[in-house]
Amino acid sequence: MLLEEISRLDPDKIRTLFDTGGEYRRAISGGDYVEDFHTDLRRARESGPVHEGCVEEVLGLPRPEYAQRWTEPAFSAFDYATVNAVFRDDETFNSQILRGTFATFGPNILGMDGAEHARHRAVVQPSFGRAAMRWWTDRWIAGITDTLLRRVEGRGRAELNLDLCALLPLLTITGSFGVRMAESLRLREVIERMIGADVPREDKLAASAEAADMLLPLIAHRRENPRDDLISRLVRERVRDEDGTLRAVTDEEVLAFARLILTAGSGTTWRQLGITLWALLNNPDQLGAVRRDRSLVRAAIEESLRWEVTDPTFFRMATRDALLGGVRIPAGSRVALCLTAANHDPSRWDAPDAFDVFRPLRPHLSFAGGPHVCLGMHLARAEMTVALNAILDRLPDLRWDPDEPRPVLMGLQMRGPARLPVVFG
Amino acid sequence: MTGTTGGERPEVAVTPRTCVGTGVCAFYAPATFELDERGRVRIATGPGEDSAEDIGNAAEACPTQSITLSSTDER
Repeated sequence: MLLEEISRLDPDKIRTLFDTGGEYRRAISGGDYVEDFHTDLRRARESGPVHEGCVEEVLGLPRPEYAQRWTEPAFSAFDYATVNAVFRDDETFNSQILRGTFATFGPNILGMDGAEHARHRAVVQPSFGRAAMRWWTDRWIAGITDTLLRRVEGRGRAELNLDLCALLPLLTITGSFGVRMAESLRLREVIERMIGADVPREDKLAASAEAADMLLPLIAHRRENPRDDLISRLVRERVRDEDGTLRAVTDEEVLAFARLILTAGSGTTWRQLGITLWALLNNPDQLGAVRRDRSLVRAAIEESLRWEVTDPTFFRMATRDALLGGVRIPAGSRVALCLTAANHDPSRWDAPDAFDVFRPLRPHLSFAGGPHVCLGMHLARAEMTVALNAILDRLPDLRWDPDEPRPVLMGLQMRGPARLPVVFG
Repeated sequence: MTGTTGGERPEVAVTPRTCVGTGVCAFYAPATFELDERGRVRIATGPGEDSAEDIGNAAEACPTQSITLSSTDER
């Protein structure tokens, strides 16, 4: 049944929605940057670690359109110690700057701080904890992965970016919501427009309303008719208010969580799984080692996360005058935290620009850090673990398609491989 | 309210009061840390053992510094 439903998904729409190098994605994310990112970041960090300006400006690029709207001074941090310290000091560097997402997502944990953030995060945390991963895997991830691979394994070649990486996280999230397969791509399209960097405000608000039209009836339905899915779980949760009283979560709160989970869950794991495969395909010795010794799957995924972050930059706002990396940051400034640069800090990792699944595991900042550490990190890891193991099981002798050009990693605010053309068997 | 464990590994103390239940610790050191029924950290009771590096990673990555380590030899 799943196979039939997936085969009915519009391939042109999939291509448009998940075409990293294409016009559509360039338009929504300014993502045609294909320079040597790690070298550029190393230069920035060596002359830094904290610079005035946004990341693009520090890298010598023009100030992007979305940054031209900022009225506050901007600074960018490039070393591990500074980025880690800012994430953990949410009194000096808070998330108020992300309240801009409230208009489209609804009030959500991205833009909350301190006790308010903790009270709201507690609503969704149990559904995304490690203990819930068996449920996610058995209920969604394993079956979807199996179905997607069944479509390609007899062909001897595939374009894994579209055939697997893009669809697995999206269908896992929409499946867990109880959204019908046929509506999954439409929901993704709406969410993309809602968050697009260069989309006019009125179009973003219209997209937000359309997401509500698709999701609110589902939320109302699950309150009355609970199923074994995520929305049914969330509507049963309780929120602790500021005065300590517990109350039922509202439909609007579940809707805001749903928009956030869709945004984060269907855009990042897609590209991180692609980056993992890209790095392994470019390092066939390491790919072979991981194939032979599956205890290395975990190391490969953590190294991929460290080495190339899908969304390299996160923002905080200085609530008071501060000193960062020797640079004076006035209260009210925007601070851009470059996760990829922090993850390549040579004071923490030897030969940091090399992809090496054998390096000792140390915590990285790909899921950020501090109280806002990625809600979906265990889910992302579970999806990538299932997918990578299944690929290694079912696509023997996996290698780049010799008849296709080698794809590059691209994008500055959203990074990933443009394509993943492979042959196997 | 703290719990401790000893042996070859570093002395570990956890502070459930400040824990927000992200499970980062149990990702790095699943034989040492787990979440209780309220989603707060506690010392794991199951089998197995984590390396000192795993436990150090867990303490370092904890988003709320709810894990403290002390080496048995006072330095």
